[in-house]
Amino acid sequence: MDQIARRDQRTLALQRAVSFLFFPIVAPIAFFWARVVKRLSVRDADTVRARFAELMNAEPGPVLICSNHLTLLDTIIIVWALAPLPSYLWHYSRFPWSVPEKANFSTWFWRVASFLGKCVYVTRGGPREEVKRTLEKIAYLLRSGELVSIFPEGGRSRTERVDTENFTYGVGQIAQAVPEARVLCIYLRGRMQDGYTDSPHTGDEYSVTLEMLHPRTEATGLRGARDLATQIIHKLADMEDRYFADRERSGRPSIA
Amino acid sequence: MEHQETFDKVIGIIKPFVKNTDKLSTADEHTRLLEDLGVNSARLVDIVLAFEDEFDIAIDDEAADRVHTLGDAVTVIQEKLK
Repeated sequence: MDQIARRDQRTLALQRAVSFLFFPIVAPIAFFWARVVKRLSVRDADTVRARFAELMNAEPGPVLICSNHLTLLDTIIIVWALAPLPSYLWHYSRFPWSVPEKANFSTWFWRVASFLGKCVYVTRGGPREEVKRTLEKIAYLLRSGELVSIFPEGGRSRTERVDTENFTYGVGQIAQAVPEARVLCIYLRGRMQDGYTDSPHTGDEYSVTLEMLHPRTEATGLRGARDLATQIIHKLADMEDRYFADRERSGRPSIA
Repeated sequence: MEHQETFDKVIGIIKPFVKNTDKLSTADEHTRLLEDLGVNSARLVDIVLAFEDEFDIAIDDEAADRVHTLGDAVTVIQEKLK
């Protein structure tokens, strides 16, 4: 078991418990916002959910979710796409933890929302000890059977596509810390999503594809982290290429 | 390796990562990589790994964290070369 302070273990356990208790209130609000207010939809959601269940049940062990990032609400769409909301009450470990930038949650409202949304903050470029502590928390959560979701690009892509040039290597450090972890790569994109925005476009239909990756490297240290992060980002870029190829060929991309 | 020679090699290595290229021609020991030269913080790892390749040294995480200016980079490299 990972060595994180008992205080951190207790805090994470408390956060999980409180988040679980509030899930029946918070999740429908988020769903209402997505489904009714924004009129968003996930194309062939049943197929996506079946694929998710198949991949999760294929083998035991930690799973790290890595997806592309174009809107601030991608996590909500991912949660919605992967499983019916009530099912999370039975498999709450599948409601993924997120790792947002701390500076983005300065108001009390977003602090509470992120606490209930199972967020563990990270400070990009912060003190080594603080970053290390966050990394240890993530490793602990993964080894405890919790899903953790991160955006390996380190932010919303400014290039409209998966940015294979300017991505961070933090995801590689996580993969190094938990080498047995599988990486569930998720590519999601709304048909109207031409570039990065704060919120998805109203009425947009999202395509979501899933692929499992087992990143491996012989390298260690920073070089190993870079290698693993590169494998993950290139997998997402491949998924994106297929998305656009399908969209161009058939007018509609294939799913799951 | 002489200090100036190391400095010149450092300049050559970081050049592809620099956004404010006009500042590079007047850069000195105190020039900061991120703030002055506009290097993307995510690319600092690439720069450190490029130092390792060029000088055939290993730079640990703690030493890498000390690299803020061109002078810091030269100091770390020369320490590792000893």
